[in-house]
Amino acid sequence: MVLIGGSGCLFISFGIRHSFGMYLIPVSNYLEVGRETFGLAMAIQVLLIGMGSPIFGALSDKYGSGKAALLGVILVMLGLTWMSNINNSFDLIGSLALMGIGGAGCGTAVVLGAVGRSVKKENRTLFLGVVMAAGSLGQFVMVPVVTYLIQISSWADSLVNLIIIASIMLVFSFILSFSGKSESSKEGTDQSIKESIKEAFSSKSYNLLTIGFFVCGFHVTFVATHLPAFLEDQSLPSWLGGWSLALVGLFNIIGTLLFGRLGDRLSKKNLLAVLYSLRSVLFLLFIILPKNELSVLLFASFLGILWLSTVPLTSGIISDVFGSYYMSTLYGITFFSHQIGSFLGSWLGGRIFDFYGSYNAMWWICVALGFISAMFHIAIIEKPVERLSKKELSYQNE
Amino acid sequence: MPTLYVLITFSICWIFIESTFLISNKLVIENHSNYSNDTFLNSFRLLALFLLIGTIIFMSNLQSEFDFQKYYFVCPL
Repeated sequence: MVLIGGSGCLFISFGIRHSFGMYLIPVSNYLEVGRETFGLAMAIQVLLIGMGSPIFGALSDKYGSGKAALLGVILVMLGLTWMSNINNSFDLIGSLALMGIGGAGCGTAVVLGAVGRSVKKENRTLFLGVVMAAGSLGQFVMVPVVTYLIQISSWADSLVNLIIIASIMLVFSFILSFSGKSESSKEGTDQSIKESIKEAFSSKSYNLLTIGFFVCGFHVTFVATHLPAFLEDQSLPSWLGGWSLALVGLFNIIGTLLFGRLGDRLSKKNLLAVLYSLRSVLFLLFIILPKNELSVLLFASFLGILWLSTVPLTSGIISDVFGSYYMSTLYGITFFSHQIGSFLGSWLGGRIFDFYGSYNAMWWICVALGFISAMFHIAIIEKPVERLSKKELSYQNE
Repeated sequence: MPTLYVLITFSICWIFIESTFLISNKLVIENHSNYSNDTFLNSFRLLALFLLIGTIIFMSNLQSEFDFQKYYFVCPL
């Protein structure tokens, strides 16, 4: 049940957020402002999703995932309503910011925490991968739906349709309130949120994991934002940019499930180290090899496999090491680091291009960061903290 | 032409994925998962095939309708 609720929630929330690019031109034209305003509003939204995640994570751990998700859905719906009635730049930035805060409520921190608490430890990473794959699928299919809605009506009317689609999440957030029934979810019940955060930050492994996740955000947002422009600079066929993004989306779903499954069978931290190393090797090959149709499509596909596969593994390590009781809060903090990486990846990519006239330096930074992150993950100790080990021992003695 | 390139790319990636599964099977010492590898792999292959067909149909029919590359505002998470 919780798996369906979580998958549905992420499918719609990721899908809606992902399709905002379709509003860039009509909204900018309507407000008679440059595209920078829309870009700024989107950047603020990305940061607010990151900032909101630990807060909604804590709300979820304290009051229940269903209630936290419900609040998030309501904020998203209010944001969409506001956006459909905008008159100036303030309205645009305000509405997208509100949706960012709401998006954190019905996003990964709350949903992954709910799923992590509800499933058995043996299959946890696979199920975390399944809900992430549903989110990836939502990103993939909502864009044509929104395009169609804008084409048959106007951009403002299509937002009203999006409110109706978002309202379906109310049902899914209700389903999420059934989370936290598995035995493993009881681990950590004697702790307060403050104590759990303190415990996490005093752990070297949690800090390394959080810094490592920053690199994930840096990589994916740089590539997602700047790859189409990079391909255009290479004078490659015009169909290649669209197909590259489509293959990233397709293999993202496959990769998330693949690594979710592997995470239940092999060491998650080693898988993450391999994953970040593979990203670096991929970037390196992309820099060195000649760019043609096949090499670009292969780059996009392999990158898709390694795209969001980090999420089930990272969240899986958090629940394995600290228990799943405060998983939403702890994952929310880690996710905030991811979003800072996202912001920097996007901004620095543009800044470096403006300064040097090419993305070369940025690709090399990506290669270096990938290997550094891999080393950080190797150093992680993937064992339950002492508190949980003692508890397990006392269960065995009983 | 794009479809041919995509099929070649997909085949190469799938070889990588199947090899990953083969290697991981050799590395697993204890398996606590409730789902057998065969059950998972078969559903996984079916899903991948379904997604590939869906993507080819979508991109072949809709790419001319809108500039996918220009407006696809990728928000990773």
